[in-house]
Amino acid sequence: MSRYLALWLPAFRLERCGWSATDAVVLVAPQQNAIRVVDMTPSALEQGIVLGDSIASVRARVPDITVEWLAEQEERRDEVELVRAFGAFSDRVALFAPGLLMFGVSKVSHLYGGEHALVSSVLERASELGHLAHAVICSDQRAAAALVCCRYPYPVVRADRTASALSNLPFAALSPGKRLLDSLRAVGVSTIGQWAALSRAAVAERYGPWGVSLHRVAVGEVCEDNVWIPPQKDPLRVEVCLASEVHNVREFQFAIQSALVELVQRLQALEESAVRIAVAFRLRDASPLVLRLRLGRPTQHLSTLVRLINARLQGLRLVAPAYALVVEVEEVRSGFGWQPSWTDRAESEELLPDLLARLGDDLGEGAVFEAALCPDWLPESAWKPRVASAGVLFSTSKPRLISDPAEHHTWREREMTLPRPVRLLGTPEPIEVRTCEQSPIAIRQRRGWENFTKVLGPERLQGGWWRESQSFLRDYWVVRMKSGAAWIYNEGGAWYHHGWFD
Amino acid sequence: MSVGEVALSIEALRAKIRAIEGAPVGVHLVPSGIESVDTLLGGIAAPGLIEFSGLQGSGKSRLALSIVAHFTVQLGQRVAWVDAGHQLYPPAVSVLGVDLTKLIVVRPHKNRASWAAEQVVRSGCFSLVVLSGVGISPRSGVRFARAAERGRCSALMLSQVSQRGYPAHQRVHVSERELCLVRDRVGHGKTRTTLAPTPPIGVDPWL
Repeated sequence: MSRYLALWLPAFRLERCGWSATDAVVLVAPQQNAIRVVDMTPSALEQGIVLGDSIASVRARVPDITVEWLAEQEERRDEVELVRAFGAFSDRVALFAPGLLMFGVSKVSHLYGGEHALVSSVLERASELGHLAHAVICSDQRAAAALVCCRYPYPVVRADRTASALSNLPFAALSPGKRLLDSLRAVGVSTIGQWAALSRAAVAERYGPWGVSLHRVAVGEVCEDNVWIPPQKDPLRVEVCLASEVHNVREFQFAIQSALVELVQRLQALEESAVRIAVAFRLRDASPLVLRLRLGRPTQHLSTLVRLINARLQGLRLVAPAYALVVEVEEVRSGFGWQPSWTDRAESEELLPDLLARLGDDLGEGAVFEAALCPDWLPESAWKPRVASAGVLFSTSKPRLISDPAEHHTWREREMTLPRPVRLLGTPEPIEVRTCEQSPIAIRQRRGWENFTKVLGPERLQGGWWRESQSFLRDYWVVRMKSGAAWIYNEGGAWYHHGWFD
Repeated sequence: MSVGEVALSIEALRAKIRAIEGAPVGVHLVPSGIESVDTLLGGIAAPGLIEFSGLQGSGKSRLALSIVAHFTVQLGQRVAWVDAGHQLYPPAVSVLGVDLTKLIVVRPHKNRASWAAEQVVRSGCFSLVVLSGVGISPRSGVRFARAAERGRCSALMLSQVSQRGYPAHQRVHVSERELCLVRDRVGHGKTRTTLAPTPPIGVDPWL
């Protein structure tokens, strides 16, 4: 059974600025046309300050309050550092919420002598880093988060005691969303225990899959739907849950934009740019619908990401109502990536790398390419496709297929005895040919034998004898007939049609 | 950056603005690089849909590749080739003078060929797109013509039989060593010209 450790640092956002939990400090940021409180130390909380208060009202109540301005990018960097600082305890550590870390500890608690000892070690580490911390181990992440944020007195909660541990906590501790919270307050449901007492059928009918998932947490069920930690340790994953289900992808546009804003901020903090993004829609009673898209050029430009994702979503249909959206950056590259210049829009409707990436995603990896010649006498191997990726398009150096410059010069200078066909068949087709003095003179078609009007050749192509089972010896001829000019060859007494001149 | 370098950058920027603002609107004719084609047509329509029809072995693909070679080498522009038949042979393409580093080949499945071709044509990323083996119906032909105008590119369609149901700016029939302008948007038709035996850009002399 999975076990999770939730570590809450209630004053992290201010402690990272150099304050301690005993200082009365509020963290402020511009919100809704005013400067408002977005976080505070426990000491400030005791003075009656509430999240969302404007700074003017805070100063009116507590004149000597200290104010710290939110610096988002630096906070993101510190969050990443915080995750790294606790990486020694588990390979699955993620930032669950601001100041709240979630660890997957199923496979590591025995290394510390048990779950209680693990909690002690983690709290000790938090103290070394200068943070006030609380920790709880539970079998469900959301339950663990709710218990630790409510300062549950017992650090380890057994799987069969989850429901009873949660029962007296306020329902808001499950972070249900404002709409669901207001809806339940209106009917007198204020604690998790009251919520758990509702019937599953009523919850499903009234509140949909999101309500069902919260109900499962409240009654102590463990289900994989509630897994939040991404497989990688990076925080480049955002999940947005909707209060009600939607049936149309277009209704997700605002949620996608919000998720991308969050992801772009994280990318900027990490100084990385996105190469591949996955967008997943969680559907009711159906498997998640996942859309993966490659970017033509690594970028962290918000408008470009929004435009590309919206373009890919056009025409996408949901087979069932969707209740949540997950946007994850699956692959990154270091650096700030591509930024559009003012002339890009004027020159083309869609940038070439984006077009090639989109076509590659739809048609398959090898369907879009640039051809490169190879020094091989076997006609099928005389070239190879180079996938037209951003790296290929923007590399300034030409690929060196031949390492010896002298060999390259000789290869290009040598004239081919016979011309090469513009169209080469994927697989040579066996044919029947009549010969006269070892030269082909006619070919059997469906309607009978057809004589060649012109014949050129032979040109002998031979090689590969140094590679086991890859040697070849072919005598090629160019022949003209009524249906066109063809490239045929004889190998080991059998004749084959290999290409068309058109 | 020195004052001189700044001045050069500003001048380069002005030239870019002039090029974008001065881009011709409407359909105009662009030299193909093939004397006989330019004599017959005056150039290929840009933007627009051009049809080269001819039986297998008539030489329409090699003619198209000669035009591609002119675009990639002389004009230094990017060209796309939608190869629905999956048979285009790059070594032969290279011998015909095409710069392979400026040629993007798209090989869609049969049932996605029309969609892929339209995406490439309307993207605006290429000045010339060749459609080989892409079946076009009268209805899809209208879409392709609009896509070419939107993407401001010349879409050169190769087919065995001329399709009359859609609006192509120029229709040329290729046979043996002769080109025949079937009809163009201006109303000219039935004009013939002979392919020169040695076009300026290398074509295999035997054929």
